[in-house]
Amino acid sequence: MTQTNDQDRVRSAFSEVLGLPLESIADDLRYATIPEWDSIAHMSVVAALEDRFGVMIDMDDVIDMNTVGKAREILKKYGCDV
Amino acid sequence: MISASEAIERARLTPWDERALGMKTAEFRDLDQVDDAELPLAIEAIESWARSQGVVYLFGRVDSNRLRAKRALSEAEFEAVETSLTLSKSNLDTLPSFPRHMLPTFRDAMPADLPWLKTVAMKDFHHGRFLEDPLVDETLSRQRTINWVVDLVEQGHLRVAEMRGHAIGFHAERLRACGKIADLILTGTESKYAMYALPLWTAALQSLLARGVDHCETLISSANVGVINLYVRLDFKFETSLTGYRKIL
Repeated sequence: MTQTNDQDRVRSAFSEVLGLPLESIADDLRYATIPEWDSIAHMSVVAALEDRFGVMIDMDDVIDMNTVGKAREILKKYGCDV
Repeated sequence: MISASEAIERARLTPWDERALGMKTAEFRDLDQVDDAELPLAIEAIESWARSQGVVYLFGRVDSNRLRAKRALSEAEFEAVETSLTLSKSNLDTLPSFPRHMLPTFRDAMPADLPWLKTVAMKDFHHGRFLEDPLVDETLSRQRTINWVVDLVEQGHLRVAEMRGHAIGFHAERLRACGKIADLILTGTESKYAMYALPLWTAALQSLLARGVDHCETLISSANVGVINLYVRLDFKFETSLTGYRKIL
């Protein structure tokens, strides 16, 4: 259940920042394939994830974070339970 | 309104463009301030002056809503080659919010930065009046951007943006004599750091605010949709739309 909740936290961060319904946020949603997730919105997504999971994401990871699934993978690296 | 003779006085040679393009270049200015009836005469006089100077590439911008000026230029066989937007922002205290660690810091550019700056200027800038002119060789247009960046460094206007020790982009500005108004000259990130564009612009504007600047202005290509969206996010006001005309003499 924890995993489900944390996954929802990842998806809900994307949903809120990008202004998209939660059900449209899937792990394979990719950066720059929709107008809402452009380079301008990206840093707001990163800021929201940092805030929710209490971590500080490195530059290389910010640049690598090109799908929702990749964001989850990166957060795992920081010890987040996702 | 200005007279045709005043319009000639406001035209100028542009040796900084000539240096890259390898042909004599000039720019007309304020043509949209010429009275409608005098427009053909003003254009003819500017062209005559340019020819007398050996100019090959004559360029200038007019307000996109000045149909008569645009018609007069077309009738004089000038071609529309680009469009630009002028923007401004007065409320510099209303900027996107980022955690401090996401904001780059700035330092003055040094000669050692030039190789990297030149590479970014060459590879990662795709808009501008020459880059958008189909008759100008792209290599020359890119060289013009490189020269511009080098000039800005030499004039002390350009600062390098850094994040955790990595140079990610740069910003150049010029403060007017009053110290309250800034012109944003050129700002950009290396393409791999494009995601940091909004924090970079935000930090640049925060820096202006901290120095007592309360208004800034800039001009961007309207073909640069990415940067238009950026300025929308920064709550800039779009002031005018300009159309750039060129004639090869």
